[in-house]
Amino acid sequence: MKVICVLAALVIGLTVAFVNIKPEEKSIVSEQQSVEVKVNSVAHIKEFVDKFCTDCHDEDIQKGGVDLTAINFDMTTAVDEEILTKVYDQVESGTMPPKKKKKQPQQEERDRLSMILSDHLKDKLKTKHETVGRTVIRRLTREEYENTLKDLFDLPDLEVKEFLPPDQKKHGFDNVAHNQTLSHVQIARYLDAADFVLDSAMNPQPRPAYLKLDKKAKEIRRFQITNDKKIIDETVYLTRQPNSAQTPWRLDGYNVPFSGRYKITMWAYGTKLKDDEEVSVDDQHVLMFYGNPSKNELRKKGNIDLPSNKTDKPVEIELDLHVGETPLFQIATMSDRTYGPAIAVERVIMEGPMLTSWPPAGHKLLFGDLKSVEWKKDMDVKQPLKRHLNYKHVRSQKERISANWMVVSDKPESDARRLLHNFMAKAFRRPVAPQEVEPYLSLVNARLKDKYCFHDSMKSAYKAILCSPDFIFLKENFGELNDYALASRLSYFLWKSMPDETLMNLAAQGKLKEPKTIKEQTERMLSDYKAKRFTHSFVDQWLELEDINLTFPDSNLYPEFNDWVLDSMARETYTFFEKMVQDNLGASHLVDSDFLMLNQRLAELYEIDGVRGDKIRPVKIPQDSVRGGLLTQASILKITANGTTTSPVIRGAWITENIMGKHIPPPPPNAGSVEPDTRGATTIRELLDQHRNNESCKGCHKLIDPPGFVLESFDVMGAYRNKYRSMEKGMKVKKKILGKDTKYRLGLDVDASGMTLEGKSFKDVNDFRKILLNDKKSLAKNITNKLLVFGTAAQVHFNDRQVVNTIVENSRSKDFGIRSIIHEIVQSKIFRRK
Amino acid sequence: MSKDTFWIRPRAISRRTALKGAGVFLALPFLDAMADKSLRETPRRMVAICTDQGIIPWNFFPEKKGMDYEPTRYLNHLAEHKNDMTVLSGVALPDVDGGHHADIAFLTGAAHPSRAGFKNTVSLDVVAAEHIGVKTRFPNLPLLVGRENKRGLSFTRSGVMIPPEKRASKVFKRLFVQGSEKDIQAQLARLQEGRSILDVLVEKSKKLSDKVGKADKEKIEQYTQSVREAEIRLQKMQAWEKKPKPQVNAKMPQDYTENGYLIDRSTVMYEMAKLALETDSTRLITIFIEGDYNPKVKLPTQEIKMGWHELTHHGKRKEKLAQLGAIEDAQFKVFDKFLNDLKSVKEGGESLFDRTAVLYGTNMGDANRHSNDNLPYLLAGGGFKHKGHLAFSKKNNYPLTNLYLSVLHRLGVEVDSFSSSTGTMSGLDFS
Repeated sequence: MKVICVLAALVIGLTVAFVNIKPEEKSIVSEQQSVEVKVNSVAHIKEFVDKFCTDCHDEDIQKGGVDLTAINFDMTTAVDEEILTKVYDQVESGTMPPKKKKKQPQQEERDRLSMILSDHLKDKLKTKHETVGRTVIRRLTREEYENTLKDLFDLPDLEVKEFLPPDQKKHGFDNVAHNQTLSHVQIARYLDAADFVLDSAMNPQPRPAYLKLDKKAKEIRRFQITNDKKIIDETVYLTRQPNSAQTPWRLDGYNVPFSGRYKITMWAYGTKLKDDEEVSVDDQHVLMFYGNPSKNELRKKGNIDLPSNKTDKPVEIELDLHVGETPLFQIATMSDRTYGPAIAVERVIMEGPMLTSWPPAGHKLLFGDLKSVEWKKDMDVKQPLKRHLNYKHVRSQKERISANWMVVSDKPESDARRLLHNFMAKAFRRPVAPQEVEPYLSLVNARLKDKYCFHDSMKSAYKAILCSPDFIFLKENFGELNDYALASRLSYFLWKSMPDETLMNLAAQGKLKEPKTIKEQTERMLSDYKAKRFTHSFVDQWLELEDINLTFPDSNLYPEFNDWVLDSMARETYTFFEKMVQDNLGASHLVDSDFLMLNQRLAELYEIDGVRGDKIRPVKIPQDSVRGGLLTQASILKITANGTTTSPVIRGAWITENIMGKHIPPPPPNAGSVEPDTRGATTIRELLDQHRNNESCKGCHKLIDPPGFVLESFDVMGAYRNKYRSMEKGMKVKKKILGKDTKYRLGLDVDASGMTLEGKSFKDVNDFRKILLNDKKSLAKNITNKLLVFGTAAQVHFNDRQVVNTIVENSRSKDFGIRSIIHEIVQSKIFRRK
Repeated sequence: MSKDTFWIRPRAISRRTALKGAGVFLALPFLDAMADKSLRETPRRMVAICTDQGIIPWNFFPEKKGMDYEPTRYLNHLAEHKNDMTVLSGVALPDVDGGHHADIAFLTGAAHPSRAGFKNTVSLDVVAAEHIGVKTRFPNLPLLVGRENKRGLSFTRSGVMIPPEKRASKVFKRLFVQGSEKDIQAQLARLQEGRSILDVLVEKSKKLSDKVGKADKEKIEQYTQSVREAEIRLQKMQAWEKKPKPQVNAKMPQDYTENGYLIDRSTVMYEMAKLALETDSTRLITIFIEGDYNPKVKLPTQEIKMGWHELTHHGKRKEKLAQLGAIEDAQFKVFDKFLNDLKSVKEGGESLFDRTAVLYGTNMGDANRHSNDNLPYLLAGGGFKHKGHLAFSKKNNYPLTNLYLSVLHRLGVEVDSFSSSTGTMSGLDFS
């Protein structure tokens, strides 16, 4: 006790003295003194905070939800760290105390606080990270869990993530370890999911017959019962797309008997009928294929372009379908009001499943070359338990495939040991010691003793393995990651899944840690098809693209909008980012690019000629275009709108946070929101001007709104506009869109001009781009931060900032290329240490 | 369960079994570690009912707000319960559209059910069942008044429909007739397997937690704890499986399998619902009342000449409205009987009604237009301070998911949000 009192007295006494120590003198302070200096820095920070901050940020007022009197300077909690980091940023940048406050610190005081607080933060975080690591043990997200099982069992069409509750996002991403929780609900779901996955992988039954269904179009029931067709001779002409309440064009009778890949060959083309005669057309039609797991559900499967006019050449598409699914398609290029064009269908063949081996790879992983037999009543084991069959048990009244097939073994004990050990090393992504098999083996033995068949007994153990902490957690050693931990970190970053054999072999040889190997492997991984999982997941979370389905534009205001344009716009953004990674394009491409990733539908939306068909491809941007970079991509313009109206506030906040990387404090409670005038009498801008002139709103909205104003030139689906559409006010528009008469009117003019916080004025989006391009480094820094969170499953801490800066600077010579940044990240010490 | 496995008709039986299995794990149940505590606590229940052909709005919505509204034609049938229920207006499920398609999102609130690529989410009763389901033999009980169990109201976490039971006799058997020894044994074996697996995992994680640093240790211990809790829940399920089913003083009900018996089917299903609650076999029931298979509704009072769905497209024609009104009158009458029945059963000094939140509504605000806003909706039963007519803006509808969150809280399920909820229902307090 006494010691503390003495120390406290010392602290108070020394405060004054310390303030006078100049930075350069600090290094001379002896080690013994430095302890006191640290305590002292706390006192200094406190003094500053008391003087300038606690008027608003105390226990009573807690402005912005911040109470600076409750801070623990040892930063025991993440909240303390977050708040102190904020204090640093706000004071250093001069944002706080707010300008309207009379009591302002001198520049000298600001600098001193910045320096002391910076040292304090670095010091505390360093100790923390050196004793426990930047991150804690982390659980696979449900996306990673699903991918891992897909790769482990070679089941590309496995859908299992919905078994698990969604992961919560923090720092923008769903994998941040400190934020993960676990409960009995999750454990129960792991058991269920494992049961399902193992049944999907285990295939003891005989190889399914290769099926080939070949029908004339007019034999397909869905075509027979519709009014929206014409049958002339052998050809069915589909003249409309079914409306949303009707079943799409379902290929009745092509019901899948075994989960797997099937090929559909269709003799079909786009045409037009006039007096029952085909008229030559130039229309490019597209079909979108789906699997149909239940009456109301559609699983998106792929699109194909149809030839224009009659041809003998069929179109082909391969689809992964689940047992019982019937493929169906929508005519992407038609609506339920389309009259005139027609899709001619003559004949449809579906064949499959296209198997590369039997039993499939997943089954071999679990059971090796062990034989399967059909269970019979006189056997000494219980009947196999009920399973999730991935084949049709009853094929027809005559044909049945028994659900009683099971794997058997002559030497259950030694087979079990061998198989479990082999499987565990794969599933746990590390070498497994022989004794680790024991608990799982005892489970097998107990089941065998209870007369369960070998197959079911093994399944129990495999289930346990898939629910075990070794499988669902990514265990990382303390300090510098060992080869295996590094292999997992790399593969969960760049593939969102488990390491493959190459990575595991390099880890086993102890070679992975070499910078050269990391570089080679990163190159290899980024060029692999699995890298799409990284780009997809990263874009989904970073740009909030996962919310693209959340709203559907009002069909009266935006009759052009349909499922095809929705599907295409998401693909545009995924492929755009993929290309940035593949071609090492600079961070500036987030804002500006000389190409677009387009298909026919997007080109139409962007008013660019000469792009036909569904395939997304790079297209050079015409001179006079307003497009380029992310900001003008339809997907982004859609997710930042609500379906009916756009809000510069929402779009502005989105750009400011996601692209410019500036944090925006949440609006004060009861701030309310500005509701757009849907009648079309006042523009959103006029409404917003009212609140921008309000003192208390002005501070933030001067930052947020301008980038949003720029995007007022684009409507809720991403089309360019000069005038707002409205249902009540404005000029009527006489036009037919997808066969429907337009109902909307063209109202008030759009004004996309504005002035940034820094006082730079712009008149449109092309102007605004130039402003953003002035600061490429900020763009690079922002995306580096995001990639680091995503790649290390931990936030970017205050003491990581130097590393971020180095990464960014090192990529400068490559124009801040994304691929270069990724290379820098995986070589950095943040990435290579826990 | 993942949606890809359980929908093929030839496997209807195994699907049922499998989903029951899913229920064991998925809908698992919250355990009172101390039995005496569970005796002291007041059981809270819920019945959620959706009739899918709409309710003629002007026959339903009263004009005045608050307690002293003038009961409308339909509300007159429920006049006896005026103080025990709250009529809601200006409510809807945000972004739940698609006319008839909205039914599957009635209790899930999942946006845009008719859209390609739609995936349903978890329903209100299933969320509640995860927490309070273990207290009863059946975590939840989805029922259907209709003929084909293709549509229903209850959905698992993965958005897969739990097929509702359409035959009252089957419900009766499940609830009150002891299952075959073979079924019981199969279920017990399944639960036992789960327990053995979890035992191994507890041991495994204990060893692991010794090998990791302090921060990781906390995470591993959370895992161990979760496994233990999951194991206790399985144990509880086994206990249920072994217990004999309750005996009731009621006969095996008749199934009305012919077209048109809407009212009779409703009556027997309400009866089953009452019995299920009375015997505490479940505390969470959903009832979906389906129009498709009640083409020409048979009423004792008058002959209905057109199909039910056809009548809903009345175009405000008098003749059609008269017939549709008669059908809906009859629906409200049997619903009134259901509420009275709940009131007649006493439990611990209160009535069953006092401990049950009854939600009654439709997925279409105006079936004539197939609109999905301004849904006719009411909440009856105990546990709430009823407000007579709680009116919200007809232009900017209030989210019904907020009511669902309030109901969850009333059931003792302390979650922060449900589906599109923005908070608990404003203006509705617990009593």
